[in-house]
Amino acid sequence: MSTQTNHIPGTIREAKAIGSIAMVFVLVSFSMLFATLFMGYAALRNSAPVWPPSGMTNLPLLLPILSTVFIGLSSLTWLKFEQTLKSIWVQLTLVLGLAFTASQFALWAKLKQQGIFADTGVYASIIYTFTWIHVAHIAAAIILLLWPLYWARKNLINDLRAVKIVSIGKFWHFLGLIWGVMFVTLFVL
Amino acid sequence: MAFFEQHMHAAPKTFLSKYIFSFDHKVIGKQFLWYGILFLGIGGIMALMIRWALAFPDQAFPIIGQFMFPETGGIIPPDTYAMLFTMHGTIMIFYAITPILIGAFGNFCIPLMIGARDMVFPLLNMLSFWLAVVSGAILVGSLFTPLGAAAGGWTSYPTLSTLIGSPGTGQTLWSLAIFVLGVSSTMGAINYITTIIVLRAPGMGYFDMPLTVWGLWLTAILNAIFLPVLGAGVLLLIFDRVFGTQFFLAGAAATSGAGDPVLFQHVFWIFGHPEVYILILPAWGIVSDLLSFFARKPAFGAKATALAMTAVTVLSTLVYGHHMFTTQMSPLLTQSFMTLTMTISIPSAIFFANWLGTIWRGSIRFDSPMLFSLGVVFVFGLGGLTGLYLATVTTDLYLHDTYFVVGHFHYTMAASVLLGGFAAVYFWMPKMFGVMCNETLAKWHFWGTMLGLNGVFMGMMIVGYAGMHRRIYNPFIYEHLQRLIPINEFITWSAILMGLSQIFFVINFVHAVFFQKKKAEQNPWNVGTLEWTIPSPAPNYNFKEIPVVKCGPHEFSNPNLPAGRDFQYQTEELVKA
Ligand SMILES: [Cu+2]
Repeated sequence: MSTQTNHIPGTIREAKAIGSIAMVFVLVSFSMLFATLFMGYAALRNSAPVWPPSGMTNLPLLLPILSTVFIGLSSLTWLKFEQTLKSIWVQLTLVLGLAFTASQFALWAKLKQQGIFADTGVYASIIYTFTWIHVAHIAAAIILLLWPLYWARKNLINDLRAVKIVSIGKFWHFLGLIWGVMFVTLFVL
Repeated sequence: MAFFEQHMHAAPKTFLSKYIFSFDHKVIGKQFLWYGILFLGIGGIMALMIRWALAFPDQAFPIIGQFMFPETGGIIPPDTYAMLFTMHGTIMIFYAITPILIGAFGNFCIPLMIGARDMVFPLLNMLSFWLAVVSGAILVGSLFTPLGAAAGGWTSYPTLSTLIGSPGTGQTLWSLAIFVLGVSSTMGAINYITTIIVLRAPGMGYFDMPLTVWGLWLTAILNAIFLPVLGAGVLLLIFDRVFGTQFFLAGAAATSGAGDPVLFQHVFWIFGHPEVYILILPAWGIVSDLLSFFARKPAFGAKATALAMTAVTVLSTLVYGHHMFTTQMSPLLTQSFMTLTMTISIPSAIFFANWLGTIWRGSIRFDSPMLFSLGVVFVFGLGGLTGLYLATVTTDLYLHDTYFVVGHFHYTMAASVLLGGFAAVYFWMPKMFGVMCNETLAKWHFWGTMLGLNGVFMGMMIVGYAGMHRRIYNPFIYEHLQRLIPINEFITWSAILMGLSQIFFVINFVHAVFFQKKKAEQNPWNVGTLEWTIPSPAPNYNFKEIPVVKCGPHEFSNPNLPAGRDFQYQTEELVKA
């Protein structure tokens, strides 16, 4: 939140505290959004006579596995970035994030090839909608990553920006976690 | 306890940075106030049209009817009627009460009452207001789409709200507007919560905060947790309407594996019940403070009031099923929801008793903010008690979707919140705009509103108990409702009285803000909370020196105070003998 530059943080410890308090509530809000989606999924799945609903062909598993690898690795490169603050690691995170997005587009193309569209039925609705909403968040997070990239390349990282980098990182890991839950519940189980 | 001291704002110089894209929480609060009052007017006129249709269904709506419905000669047509009650509910809840209580007074009061120079994230605050403007524009725009605005009720249950029930773009725009407003309010909520945690003045513990701040804080927490739930619900509704997904479609409408229309009701009420408390908590907080301020007595059991409000907040997350007793829910669930709902009456009774304890034997000053606060005590008492009949499964099965429900929820979340909002406007007027409102007009406003609203909502409970269903266009074509025509006319006349009384407010408010020359004093009400230690209107930096808090917000009539003074500021050491 760039507005913090308007204030003089007494010490960097205080800026950190503000960042983590705000991030707790930000992540609670986003969690509730996704929790509602998963709750709806659980309700629809448990009330259906058969699952997957009749007429659904098998879903591709290879692409989601690839997505999982990309986003998992991106969290690791980000952790490395937080330790070293070297721009190569944020670049790698960005590339992996873009690769994840690309793999999601490939997944949608593949589904369409199999004749599965958003209006094909409730299972298809769930797969498309959940991945759409998640990728929209990933896109927003990728835009957020451009700031740390810029700071790292221009050597502009100071203590206050390091706090912001940690906050952005929390959001990135959170999205990875959500993908993990989606991967297991939508594609594996 | 403050984590850090904020910079002093430099005074903004251009018109744009001062009035339009301001970072100042006080300006953003005023922007929200105007926004809310504007929508309050629109929603109010819609209410009068609804009432007109229910009492005089075959007569033209006076004055503007001919102009709005020329094809029927001024009579409100049935499809327009459905849009009216839908938009009335939506506008009043999300675009009038929320901006006034939370947007305006949340923004204005929180930093001033905790001794901060601004919110912790001013940019986020400004974005929150402008997103609310975008949302309002989408909603108003939906009125002008070819098939008209949303007409599925403010709850917008499928299948009324899917393409089968509402084929027009109005319903899609409605969902989008609610989603955008949800994002705006969530941003505001995160700002409020963080501000209250990190920016309290040195010495101010949580129980030294005025109860107003407590109410706003609890509201913000509920907002941050539950608005995203509604956001997810309306997002899925938009996808159902635009991309053909099938979350809320069932039966012949679904092709492979059915969705579930009732799922939306669950999602809606998981958000919707906390929403009731989101609306009422700020009013509870404001009233808890004002009763003490104007009874010149410490708030009775202030700590218990704060904890009781917290208990209600927690319980409010566990009771949503009481809105769905008629959806063939398992009796095990209905009984649990009933019991949990009833449990809320325990903490409610605690703070209600504390309100009475506060005014008991006080030397009450009947200024307009106090009149409105006492009005809240009265209407909230009635609204709360009638809720018990709706929480009880056996009586709810009969009363569900009748006008009894409409009367009940208007008492709790319309009447009491509206009166609380007016109390706040009259009370903080000097600090917001640097002028006082006219007391005589304010009292006329109070009595007209109070008489009118009780006529309306009491009448609604009576016709509801007699079996009148909500959301029907012309009640008089049903034989069993013929005898209710006189009461329905009485309700409508009461609504007209209430509507006309608002003219007193508009004249008073506009005159005070734009034409009043006489400046208000720094502390006209003789109250000790932090905002009254600075000049009226509050300077753009709020506090020159960050205050140090040494006592609670309700220190009145301490016998050790020097003669001629019956209150002390929060910055003063508690006087002892
Ligand atoms: Cu409820």
